[in-house]
Amino acid sequence: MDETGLFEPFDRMLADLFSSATVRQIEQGAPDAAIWNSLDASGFLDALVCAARGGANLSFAAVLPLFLALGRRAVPLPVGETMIARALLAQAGREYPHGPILLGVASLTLPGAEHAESILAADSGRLNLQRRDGDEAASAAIGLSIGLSDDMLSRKAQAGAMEADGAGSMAPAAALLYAALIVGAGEAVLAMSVDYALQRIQFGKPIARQQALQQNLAVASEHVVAARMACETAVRHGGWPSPLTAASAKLIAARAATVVTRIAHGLHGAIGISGEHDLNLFTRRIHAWRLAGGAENYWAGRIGREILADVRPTLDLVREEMFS
Amino acid sequence: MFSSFALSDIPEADEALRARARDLAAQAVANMPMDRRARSWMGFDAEFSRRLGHAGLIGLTLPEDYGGGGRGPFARFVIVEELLSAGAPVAAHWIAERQSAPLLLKFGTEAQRRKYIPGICRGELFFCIGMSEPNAGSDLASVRSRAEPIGKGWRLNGQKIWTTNATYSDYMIALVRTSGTPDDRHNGLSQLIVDLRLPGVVIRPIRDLAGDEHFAEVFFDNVELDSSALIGEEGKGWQQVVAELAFERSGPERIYSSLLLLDGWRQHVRKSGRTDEATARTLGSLVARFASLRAMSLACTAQLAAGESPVVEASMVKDLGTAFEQDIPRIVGDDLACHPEEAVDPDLCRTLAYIEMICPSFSLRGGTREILRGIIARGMGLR
Repeated sequence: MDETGLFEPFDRMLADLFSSATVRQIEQGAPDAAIWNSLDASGFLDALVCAARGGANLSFAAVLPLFLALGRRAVPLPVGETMIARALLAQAGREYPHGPILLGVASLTLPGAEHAESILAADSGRLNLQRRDGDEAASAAIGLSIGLSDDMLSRKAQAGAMEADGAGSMAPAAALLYAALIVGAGEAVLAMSVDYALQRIQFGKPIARQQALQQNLAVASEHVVAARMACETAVRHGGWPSPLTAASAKLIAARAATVVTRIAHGLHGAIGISGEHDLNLFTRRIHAWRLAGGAENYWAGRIGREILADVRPTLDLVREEMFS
Repeated sequence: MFSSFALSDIPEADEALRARARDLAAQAVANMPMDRRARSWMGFDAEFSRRLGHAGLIGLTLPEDYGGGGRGPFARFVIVEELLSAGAPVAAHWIAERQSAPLLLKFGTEAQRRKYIPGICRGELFFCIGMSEPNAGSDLASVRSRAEPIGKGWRLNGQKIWTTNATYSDYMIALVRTSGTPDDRHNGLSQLIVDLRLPGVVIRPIRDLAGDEHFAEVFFDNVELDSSALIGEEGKGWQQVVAELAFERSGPERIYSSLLLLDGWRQHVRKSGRTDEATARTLGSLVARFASLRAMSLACTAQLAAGESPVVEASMVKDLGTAFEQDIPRIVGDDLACHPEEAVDPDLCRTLAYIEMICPSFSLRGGTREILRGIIARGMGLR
């Protein structure tokens, strides 16, 4: 999975920078500038930037493990978003700032908006980077409505090579990112749930021994694994995720989001509801990432409209558009 | 968690087999109504199996030395995908190819391999699997059929039930007790090859709720088997069965059982000129689920190709895959019922009725949901 060898150092850096205490502090107010400076200095924010502009020129397949790690560590800053924004700007021959950048996709909510210095929007097919002021930044969380591409199938051929200005590549990339963040956080929630179930004694034995609980956790893990596979499908050709595969990844991850959070909270009982327990650091983010850029029905509609008139049998359609 | 479970591409050489399988499948179903095609791996057609075998499309994972294709699990994945999505009648050779031949290859003697595997690969030798008994369903360790050692062989007594395709099969690989008692649980069980034409074997078909007779009761009354009937080690049948189940649970057959209904519904929606958002969402959601399941099944196939036995991962594919298969008739039925103004092709109606009736079996055959989830929970370290 980690063919580049980048996962280890990246994950170690996240573990150092984002303890649960730090995540809570960031949620309470402005982050320590040193945190972002460390991220910026690490070079990882340029992972997707082309080599000509001094980036690492990694593929999405290589970056997917990093996105998953961001979810697994409940990272509260728009790190993945900034990676994608920098790549888009660099590809378009534009300069980019050092600070956190949000992806201005059509969305009810944009997680991390309160900490973003700027927002990258695609206005009538052109990339538009706007700086945000402190107060204004918070309102970016709602009401952003930016047009999306209407033609997902014909764009498959272009996946891998961004369009000149990259505007149309933003929504699929953002969808894949949010899906991966859900999967990463979902994996963390599953691991916490297993640990807790083995420790918590009720009726004289660990609750892990209860079949009902075992069955529920098995189901939750199936959904998280399915969502990871959908993410892997979206990055497997090496280039940028195609609209159809990214849509599918976000849809499957959004389904998994509710399953895994409900089951994990049910298993943790009241302690999982308490603010000081770390479970909510993950489950709150999973819900936000589910809604960001559209949840199940949004993407189901996008996929469906694209293929309603398609005459190919389902297997051929899926093979040719999503696995070739 | 489960991080070694990763998506893999189908090698080009295996992908190249697709066209041949597709042509043969298309010929076989040319004049078949949709509800017959929907029976697919319950549809028995010995002639079709023979044609497939002679075209080199059976036993692709088996060594060429035994008449197989000398290819890997991905070759089989491609063929299975084509046969099932067309609704080709593959029941005759299905179990022999999927489970019996790989089992014999792994645990059988050289003589057993030579005797059975080439015939299986030609699509001429058909096998069924004798596991369930009247009082041993999910709790397989409590099987009571018993083979006593006699001279140089065995004397078998007992009964199997719900045995798929027993009526049409040449041989059964039966899980029976050869030593100890049911209290010994998994110890003392063995797998025996039973020639179903032997004296003392009585097969009685059981009619299912759709009127089909794909499964049967099989009675053994002092059936005498020679020593070559034993597969692998006496008393180790349970471990062999567990290894076999990863083959059974991971493949496309756990995802594709209702695909013809989905295709039929899509055709209906197109003919009806639907462009509404509700229909689009229904379609988009099903297609995305299908794609994610196909990715999971490919990941399992990669593990099989690497020589692993992905028991836990295969259970995940089967549990989620059969939920998808069972959701299709529910969702398609709901959708069509929302549109009483549309004329629905009787063929589609019959297919919907058939799948809705038979789909509870999808999450029974090859291991129930509850058993599979228990296996996954064990894989997670909960038990």
